[in-house]
Order: sequence, then C-alpha cells, then structure tokens
Amino acid sequence: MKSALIIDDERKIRTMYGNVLAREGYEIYEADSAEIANEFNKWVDMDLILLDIRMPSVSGRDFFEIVDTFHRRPRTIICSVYPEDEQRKLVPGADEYFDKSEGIEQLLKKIRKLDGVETEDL
Amino acid sequence: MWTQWSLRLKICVMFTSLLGCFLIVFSAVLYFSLSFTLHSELNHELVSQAIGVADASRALLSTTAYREKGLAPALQQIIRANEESSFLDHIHSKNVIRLEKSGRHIPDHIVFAGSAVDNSFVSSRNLPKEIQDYMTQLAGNAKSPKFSDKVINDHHYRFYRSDELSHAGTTLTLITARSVEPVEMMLKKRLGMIIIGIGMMLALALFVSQFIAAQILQPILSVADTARNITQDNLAARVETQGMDPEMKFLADAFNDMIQRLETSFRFIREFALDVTHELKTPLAIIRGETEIALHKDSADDYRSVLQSILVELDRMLRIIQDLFQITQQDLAIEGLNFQTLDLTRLVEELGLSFQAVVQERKIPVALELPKNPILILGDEVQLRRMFLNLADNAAKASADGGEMGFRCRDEGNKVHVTVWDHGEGIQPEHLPRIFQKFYRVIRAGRPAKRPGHGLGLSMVQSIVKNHQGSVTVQSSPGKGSEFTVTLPCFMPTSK
Repeated sequence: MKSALIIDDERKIRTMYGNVLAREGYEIYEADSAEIANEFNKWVDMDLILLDIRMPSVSGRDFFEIVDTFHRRPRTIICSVYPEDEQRKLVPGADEYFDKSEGIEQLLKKIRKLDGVETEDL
Repeated sequence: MWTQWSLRLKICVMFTSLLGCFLIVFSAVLYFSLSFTLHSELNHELVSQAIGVADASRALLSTTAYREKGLAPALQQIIRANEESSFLDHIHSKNVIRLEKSGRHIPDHIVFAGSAVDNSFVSSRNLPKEIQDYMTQLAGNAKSPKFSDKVINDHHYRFYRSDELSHAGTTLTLITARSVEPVEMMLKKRLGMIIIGIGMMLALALFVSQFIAAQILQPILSVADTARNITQDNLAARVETQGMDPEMKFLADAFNDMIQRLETSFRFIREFALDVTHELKTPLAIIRGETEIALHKDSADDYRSVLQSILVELDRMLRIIQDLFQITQQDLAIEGLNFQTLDLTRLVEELGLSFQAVVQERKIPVALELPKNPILILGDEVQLRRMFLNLADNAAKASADGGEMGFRCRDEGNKVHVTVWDHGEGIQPEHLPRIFQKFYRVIRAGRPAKRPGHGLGLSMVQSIVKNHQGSVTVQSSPGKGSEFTVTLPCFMPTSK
C-alpha cells in the first residue's frame, strides 16, 4: 500500500487532505510540525509527502532541505497558502507546488498527475 | 539668481571673490606704500639739492673774488656749474631734455633764487616764463608752504621753497623744483601691472577652483547617485565611505543609516504582509476545501457539520482582523485613549476575581497579592483590562487543569509592577526573544489548546503598555511556569 505523510500545523488541513489521499489509496501519516525532520525513519520510506512551508519552529523549507539530500527521496508536494511562484522561490526543487486556496480538486489533480493517473472528477 | 546657481558655481565664485578681495587689498597697500616712498624721495632730492646749492654758494662767497661780486653772481656760477657737471647730466640723462609743445627744451631740474622785493633773480637756463613767474611769486610769499605742486604748461612740477640766502644786503630766496612726471609714470606702470596681474590670477583661480569644487563635491554626487538608485525593491545600495573626508563620511554615514532603517521598515512591512496573508488564507483554504467536499455530499448532517466548521474558521478570521485593527490603532495611537486616574489595586483585584470565575471549572485557583493602599496610575481602563486579561488568558492556557496562577502587585514609589504568573508549561528560552512579535506562536507540545492563539495577543499587550509609557518583561523556565511583569509609571499629582 502506498503511504503518504502530511506535515501541517493546521489539524483541519491534515484531516481534509488525509481524506482526499485515503480515497486515492494512500495510508495516511500525519505530523503537526516539521520537527520530525531528523527522525528519518518516520518519513524516508513514504511515497508522498505533503509539506506546509510556514510552521512554528522548524519550517517546511528546512525540512525539505534535509529531505532533498537523500538520493531517493519521497516525492514531495509543497502545500502552502503562498502563491505557487512564491513557493517555487522559497522551496526550490520540489516535485509539485500547491496553493491551498485553490481547493482540494486542484490538489487531487496534482496528486494524480504525480501518480500518472488520468484525472477524473472528485 | 544666486539660489538658482549650482553649488559648484557658488563655490567657484565665492572662492574667486574672496581671493580677489585679498589681492586687491594687498596690491593697494603695496601701491600706496610705493607711491609714498617715491614722493618722499622726490621731496628729499629737492631739499638736498637746495642745501647743496646753499652750501656751495656760501663757500664761494668766502673767497675774495666773489665776496666783492655779491650773492647773485655766486649763485649764478654755482647753478651753471651744476647744470654743466657731468655728474648731474648722468643722473638725470633720461630727464634732462624734454620738449615743450612749443618746441622749446624744458628743464627737469630747476634751481632758482629770487627776490620779490626788487624782482631780481638767478636761475637755470631756458626757464619758461610761466615757471619763472610762479617761482618769483613763491619767493615773495614767505607764508606759502614749503612744498607745493603746480601744473605749468601741461607739466607737473613740485617746488621747494628753501631758506633765504643773505649777503651784503642782498637777500634771495632759494627755490628748487623737479618734474613729478617720472614718479607718476612709474606708479602708472605699476598700477597697470597690478591690475593685469590680479585679473590673470582671478581667471586662473576661477579655472582651478572648478576642479577643486568638483573634487569637494564628488562625495555628495556619489551620495546623490546612490539615492537615485534606491527604489523600494533595491534598498541594499550604500554609499562607499572608504577614504572619505571626515565631514563627508559623516554625511554618507547618516545617509547609509537612514537607508538601513528604511530597509528594516520595508522588510518588516513585507514580512508583516506575508504574515497577514498566511494567517487569513489558511482559514479560507479550509473553508474552500470543506465546501468542495460538502458539495459532493447530500445529507443535512454533513452540511451542518461543514457549516459549523466554516463558522469556526470565520470566527478565527474575524478575530485576527479585529486584533490586527486593535494593534494598528495602538501602534499608531489613533484611537483617542481615555486616560484617567485609576486605582490599579482595585482594577487588578476586580480582574482577578472575575477571572477566577472563568477558570473555576478547570480548578485553577487565582492567587492575588495586592498592597493594602490604592496605587494611582494614569491610564485607559478598557485598554488595561484588555491587556491584563490577555496575560491572564495566556497563563490559564499554559496551566494544566488544577494548576496555579495569580496576580502580584508591587508598589515601588514612582513605578508599579504587576506580575501575572503561572506554574504551567513555561516557554523554551529560544522562543523568549520573539514572543512579542506579531504572529509568533509557540507550539504547545501534545496538548492542543481549545482555542488556539493566533500570535497577536502579546503583541497587543506590548502596544498597550507602550502607550502607557510602561514596559513588559517575561521570565520563564520550561516546566516551571512563566511570569509576565508589566511596569507602569505611577500617577504623581503635581500638588504633592
């Protein structure tokens, strides 16, 4: 089974995105902060990471820098309320960028695109 | 017109005029001292010539031949001898022969001895009639000044009336005269040289001062250049102060400091805007997501739960906006604060008692340590209540159920300290310097708060305290609790 880790300090966001990913067949793991960055075992085997940028203490940017040093890192979608261009500047090199205010249908499209699945309605 | 000139031109003109003034004064002194010297020399020559003639005639009269002949022939002899002597010719060779307009030779050096009584005289040869007349007139008037100047036949002469010479009943007044024109000629030439010299030097100064002014103004131009390159997006430019003169460095440093402060302010505004965007967009993202999900469902219960969730997010946004509004007003001090004399002891006591009721269900006792006497301060009661309630709310949030918190009020004469303390989870030291920043939140390990903060509360506390000329400090150790101390100035009635 595919596994996905959602890192976001907003509980409701985690739940909402978790539901979307679960329907895509993912096993869901959640973290309310990026402080697990150094606990590699918690994320290194994931198939997908949804990563918020702005979080207290450790930011998504710091987290991604650590993730990005692994040669076979999990695919990562940056999920933030910043516009995508801004996200690309803040955290370069991620697989996909998602502006949270675009709604979950857009998120779904991006996840499916990464999975190589034809897009269909929610 | 002066105000429209460029600074460079002004510097050049000022420098040149100043130099011009100095040169003119200096040259004038030089010129007049030269003139004085030349005129004194002329007078001296007139006097010494008169003395020479007088002495020589006295010597001649002592001889047997001339004792009989008398004074006039003796003088005549001496004047002729003088004229013919090569010595005199040599000295006055340049000036001896002069031509009058009429074509006659006129003498430069004249020796004349005459008497007004019998109109008799002896004199140099070729003496024009006009000069003879004037000299006779001088000889006859004992009250006329010793030195006198007169223009005769377009020539300027100076006359010296010497003492009278007497011998055997004859009395003659000795007069010497010289042309002033050589002196005048020399002064005229000097004056021309001085004027040309000053003109040339001023032209040179104007030329050179252009370069000097450019050199002096270079740092100012570089400051201006930097200023022109500064835009809202590029505040990183600084004026290079390496090797600058101290005065210019002072200007450039002040300018750089100003840009630094501007840059800090702009960065703060940008970060703040980013913060506000983030804090307001997050609830909107949740609302949008949940709405999208709800649209694919059809039970009324699902709708109800989504609507409730949306309401919570809307509340949260409204709270952020309201607090932002508050802080902005506090920061700009727009809101006319209603300052009154307040008894802080009573205010804290009331707050403590009412807050006790709020935290009763979580079994948190609120301890009150208050002085017996009232402490008067000048403040806005509504703002102060809001501020202390915010601190108390934080203390309650940090405390576990059944924990302890309290208010402590300490009077220090001209200042009063109010401490809101708790024995809760405390704050990690690395967070302490930033907790008063807007939107800064400390994540609470494990236990999600019922009503999560949005990082504006302490910022508001600080704004309110600042508006009361006070300060707020924090002391905290993780696991042991926190103490927020607000220090406010006491009210001092002037009659006291």
